[in-house]
Amino acid sequence: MLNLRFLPHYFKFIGLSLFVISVLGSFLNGFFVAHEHLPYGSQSDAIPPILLSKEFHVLQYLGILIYVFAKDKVFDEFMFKLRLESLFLVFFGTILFFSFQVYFKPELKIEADYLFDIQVLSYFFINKLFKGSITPES
Amino acid sequence: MKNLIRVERARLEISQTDLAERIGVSRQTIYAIENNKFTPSVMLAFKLAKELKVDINYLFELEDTD
Repeated sequence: MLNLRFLPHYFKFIGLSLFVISVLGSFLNGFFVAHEHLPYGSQSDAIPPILLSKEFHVLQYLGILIYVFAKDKVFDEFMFKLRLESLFLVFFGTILFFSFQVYFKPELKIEADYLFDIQVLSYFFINKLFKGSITPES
Repeated sequence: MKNLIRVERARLEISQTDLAERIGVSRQTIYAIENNKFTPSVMLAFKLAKELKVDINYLFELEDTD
C-alpha cells in the first residue's frame, strides 16, 4: 500500500492549527459582513486585511495537506474506522443538503472553498464526537 | 462475536491502557472490542491472544448472529 504519511505525528497539530487560524479570518469576516449589513463578498474593516489575503487562503489548504501527510501518534484500525464513518457522514450530509436545498433555499449558492471548509470542520467535529462517545476506563 | 478480553485482563491484572500500550493501539480500541462495538482484524486478534497468553479460539467466539 502506498504510504503517503511521512511526516511525524506532531505535524497533525501544526496542520490543524494552520487550518483553523486561516479559516478564522474568513469566518469572522463573514460574521462582521452580515452584522454590519455589508454586501456579500465585501471585506469588513474589523478584520486585518492580512487575514483575508491570498497567502492566508493558501495557508488553509497547506494546513490540510500537512495534516493529511502526518502520521498518527497511535495508529489503529478502530480509529481508522471512526475516520471512515466520519467521512461517510460528511459526504452523506453534503448530498442530503444539496438534494433538498432546491426546495427550501433555491437561491443559495455556495462557493467551493466555503463548502470545503464546512466539510473539513464537520469532519473534525463528527470525528471528535465519535471518539468522545467511546469512554474507556482509566 | 463474543470475547473474553475483560476476563483475561482481570486475571492478569492489567488495565485497558496497559494492554493498549503493549499491542500498540489506543485505549478506545480495547474498550470498543471488549464491549462488542468493534470487531478486530485477524492480526489484532492474534496480538491480543498472544499478549493475554491464551489461545485465539478461546479468546474469541463466533455467535449465531455472526
